[in-house]
Amino acid sequence: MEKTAFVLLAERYRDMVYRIALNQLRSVQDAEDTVQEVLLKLYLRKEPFTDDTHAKHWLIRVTLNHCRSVWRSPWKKQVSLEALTRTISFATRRDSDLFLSVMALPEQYRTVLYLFYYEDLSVREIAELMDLSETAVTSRLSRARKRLKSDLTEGASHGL
Amino acid sequence: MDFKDKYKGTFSQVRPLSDFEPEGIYMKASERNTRPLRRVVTIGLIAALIAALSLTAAAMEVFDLWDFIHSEDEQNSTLPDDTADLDSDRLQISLSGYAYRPEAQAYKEWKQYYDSIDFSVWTQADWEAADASGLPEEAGIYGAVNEEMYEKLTEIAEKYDLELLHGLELFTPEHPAPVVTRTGETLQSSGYHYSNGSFKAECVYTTADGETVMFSLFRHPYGSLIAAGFEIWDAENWTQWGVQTKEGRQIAMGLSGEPFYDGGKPLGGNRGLMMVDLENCAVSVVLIGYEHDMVTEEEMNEIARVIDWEALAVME
Repeated sequence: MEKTAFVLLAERYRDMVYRIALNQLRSVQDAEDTVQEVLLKLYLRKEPFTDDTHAKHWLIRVTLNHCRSVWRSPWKKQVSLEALTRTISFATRRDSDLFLSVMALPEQYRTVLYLFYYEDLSVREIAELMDLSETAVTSRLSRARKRLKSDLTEGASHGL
Repeated sequence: MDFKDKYKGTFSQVRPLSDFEPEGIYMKASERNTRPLRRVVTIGLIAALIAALSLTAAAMEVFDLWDFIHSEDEQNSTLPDDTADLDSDRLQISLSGYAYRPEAQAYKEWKQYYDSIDFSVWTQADWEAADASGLPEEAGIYGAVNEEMYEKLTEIAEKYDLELLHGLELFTPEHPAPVVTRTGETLQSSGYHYSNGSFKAECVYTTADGETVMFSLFRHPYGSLIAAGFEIWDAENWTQWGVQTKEGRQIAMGLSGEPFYDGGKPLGGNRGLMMVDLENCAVSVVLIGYEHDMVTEEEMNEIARVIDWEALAVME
């Protein structure tokens, strides 16, 4: 890939790749490694993207695939939730609590939540990118919301 | 402030700790380009494995993937004369068995109903009402999030005399998915299963030439409504063939060799699919490749020959 185009895409989507990896792997170090690996794949890509959505979806797929391989690796770092939260500075306690609650969810819920609520992807797009049925996506969203509601109402209210 | 705003506000603070350094990527790229290709297939090893397992390739006309898509008539399970559907935008394959089976027809009906619902127009109130609906576990398994959807789900299940899945549990390292090789080795896996013996396992297999291949294996006993399907957008890029096990099982194989995710079609990339009817259940294997790690026909053949399909047929 031509360097200018690479830097542009990398700057635009680097945070997204990191957040997806963190949701998947729950390890800052593994997420950092994933960003490096995915950006390397991006740079090595020869075919042009048809548009920005194509690039974004491609990056999401490559990130998920890479996380899958990290997940299987015996060298995957095991990090406690508390340790994970300590490595990230949040503006308020409420943000920190929400982050902790989301990261305490099973992996199958976290990424779907992120793609739906942060990246504004549709259920169909998420299903296609994650190789899930749309029923599985909506089911996971619904269960995640229920779990979060239950977790958060035990502590502070987050208006769920 | 709604949940979405709060979620975005929280996760916008989550950013990589390290700075972006393009030069580091360029350096790694030059190192990577000097390495030999990862996927060098050792023909001799694979040939030896094939010989040892006494397996032969079957003629693809006998049993191919399109049977799972088109043939709703049990007596007509070869390629249809009218191949117009092959040019349609999307081909739907139920992972619960041949198209003529009630499981596949129920899947098709549920999928059509499900696709007719536009979740993108759902409001926060719709989701909250769905969350509060108190539906049973099986509703969630199928993505039925309100009473109306659950009623439709049970109606379809009754129409085809099928049971709904229930009793979802995860596989654990102590209780892994029962996917074993012919030499009795249980493959490393994760995933989930239901009380009827239906499961999805994410498996890891090391090929004869040392490559790690990951694939999803679905086992669906007949008699249950299964919402798992496989969509093909690029039928023109698929090749099909068959593998016959020494017990006579016919495994329908298909592979799209096109580069991963090219041309803007998310479902048009390099993917492999295997399907086999084990009389009491349907088993399917899905492999997904990407640019620098493509799924190949050789590794699919190896997996087809290494998996103990009989063990999947007899399990309760």
